[in-house]
Amino acid sequence: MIEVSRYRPAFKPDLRYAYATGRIRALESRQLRRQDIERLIEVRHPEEAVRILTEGGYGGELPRLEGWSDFEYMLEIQQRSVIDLLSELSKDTSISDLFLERYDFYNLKVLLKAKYSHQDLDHLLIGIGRTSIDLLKKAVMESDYRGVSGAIKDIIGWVDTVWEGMLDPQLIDVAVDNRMYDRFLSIVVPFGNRFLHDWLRLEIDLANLRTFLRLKWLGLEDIMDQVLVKGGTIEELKFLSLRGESWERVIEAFRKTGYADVVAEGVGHLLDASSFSRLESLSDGLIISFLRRAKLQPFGIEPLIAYVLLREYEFKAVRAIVVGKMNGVADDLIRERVVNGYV
Amino acid sequence: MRLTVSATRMELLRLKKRLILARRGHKLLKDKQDELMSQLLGLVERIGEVRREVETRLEEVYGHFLSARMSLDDRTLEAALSFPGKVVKLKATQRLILNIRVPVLKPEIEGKIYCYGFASTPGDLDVALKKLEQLLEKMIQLAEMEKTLQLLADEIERTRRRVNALEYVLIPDLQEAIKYITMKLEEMERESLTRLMRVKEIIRGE
Amino acid sequence: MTGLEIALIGVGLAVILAGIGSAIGVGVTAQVANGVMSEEPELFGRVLLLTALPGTQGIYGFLVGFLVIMKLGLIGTTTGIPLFKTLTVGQGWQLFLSCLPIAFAGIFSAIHQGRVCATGVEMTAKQPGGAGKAMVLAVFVEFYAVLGLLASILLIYRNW
Repeated sequence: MIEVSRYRPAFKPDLRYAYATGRIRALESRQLRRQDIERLIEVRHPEEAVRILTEGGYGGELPRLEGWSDFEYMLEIQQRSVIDLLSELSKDTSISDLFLERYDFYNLKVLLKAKYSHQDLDHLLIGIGRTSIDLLKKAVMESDYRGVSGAIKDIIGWVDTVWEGMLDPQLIDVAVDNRMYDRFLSIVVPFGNRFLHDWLRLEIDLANLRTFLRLKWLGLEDIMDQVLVKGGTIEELKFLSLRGESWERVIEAFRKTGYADVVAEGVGHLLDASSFSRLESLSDGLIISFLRRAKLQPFGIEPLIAYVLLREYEFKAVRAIVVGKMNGVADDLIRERVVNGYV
Repeated sequence: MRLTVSATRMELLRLKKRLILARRGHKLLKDKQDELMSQLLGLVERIGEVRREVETRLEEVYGHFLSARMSLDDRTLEAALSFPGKVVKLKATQRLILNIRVPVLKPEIEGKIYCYGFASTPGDLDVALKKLEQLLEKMIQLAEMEKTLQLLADEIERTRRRVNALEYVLIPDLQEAIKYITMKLEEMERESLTRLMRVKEIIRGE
Repeated sequence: MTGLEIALIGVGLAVILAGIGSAIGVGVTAQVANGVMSEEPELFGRVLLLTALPGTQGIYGFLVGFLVIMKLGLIGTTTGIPLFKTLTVGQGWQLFLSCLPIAFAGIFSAIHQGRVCATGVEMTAKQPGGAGKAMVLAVFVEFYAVLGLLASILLIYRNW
């Protein structure tokens, strides 16, 4: 069990990252602060929020932002620049590749869905990944596996063989998600960095926890054993044994773990308001406070990884605010969502 | 407008029969219109109820969907939903209300509505889809009712046009024609009476 | 080995070890400073001192080495017979040992001061006003290098 509030990172200083760490510290000073987030929440018009972001460096290389349609594009450019920074500064390519491969797995999902639903979904592909989209396309459409990783090849092969029998699109996402985490574990565990391993286990635990609560709420507990991800600190058996139990029992079962607050408060909000937003912002918040521990680390890959992930959470907060603003969500609701997670 | 009729007794009889027929038809159509009207009003009331319910619940669905959208970018969200697992087939049959054919929609729903992985999507998407799924049958029912309403309204319109045609054109015309023929016939009668009297006088005078 | 050889090994150690320490310390700090300046070039002035600070140990080592050489009379003018001509093995060892404080204090304090300064530069990146405080903390490490230097000097200039 990873107790975030008491987590003492065992950092090993890695002087190869001295330059990277210096650069990250300078970049960290430009991240949105609490008052920036507050300012964003309080703007009247979403255009104003976009303007604040552009002034705060979000515009980047964009010539000029013209409102809403460009907003997601703006975030994507930021996302790209963060990933580029990671590739540039990382001395351990296996780790920076892990972050790139997330996009491979995403693209793989899109391509597999396009293949089996006979649609053209090319507009959904994201061209950041480690494997080029053309190679992935060849692998999915023509079973030509040159240039793709073993994990991707396995997934395509597996989906191809079971598809006829199941015809269930959910299968594609579940297969890709599960194997993505397997792949990440297979990179992170031999790498031997405790911070990274703990982060990944935390992610898996929280992903499983959310999945578990969602399935329970939906009454779909029978598929639970297929969709849980392996490799976290919470045993799969623990979740399986809680199938069909009352919500009180579930909260009780996690009381003594580091996830007690996330579960208790998240479930409370779920039952009151039929919304998972609290659960999700609390679980994001837990990961964020875990990642912030990397600020204690003078040199190493940890600050770099933490910076990349924290920026991604920042983008998420910004998106929640701007999308909320566009759709006239009350300030307090936006604040409640963002404050638990980001600030 | 006066009907161009020949003022004969035969014609008068024929017109009188037509008038009786028109009056009966008018009454029948009027009854039909009233009946349709009461059906329509009942339906409108029920539709109002269902529509309000569907709208409030749809609003809820959009709320949850918005909440999901707040934590996921548009592309990933679209990718998650790009391959729906739920197939809804509608089977349309017909039923008769007062001789009007109205549709009966029977949905055949199969597959799961949750077509995406759980690890990479926000939970409020589940909530939105669950509520949408519960709403689906209501929405189909509403569609069916609204189509029926439309057909009923068309029929009422048509019936009213007929009633009006009978009431304001055909019946007054017939009445006028009958009056005209009656008067004409009376006139002719008087004429022939006068003629007879004149003939009689001539005969008497000789 | 003659006394002179032993004394010169001491000189070498003082210069080399303190120099290694400083090179590592400045190296680390300079890398971090480069990282910071690639994003915030205007911070050069503030991080410059922090980057230079771990370099002092090398200077101290060199100073001690220089003092020993002076003492031996290898360079410069001295009155009477230069010491290195009459240096016994025992005196050689004495000079050798006098060099050790700055050699060891130098290498370790420079490396650790390098870390302190590097993190100080990181802190300056976040709060440019923090450079002064980081300096103060780095000077705490410097203190022990200075003590090593003092010990060495006192040992060299004791009464022979």
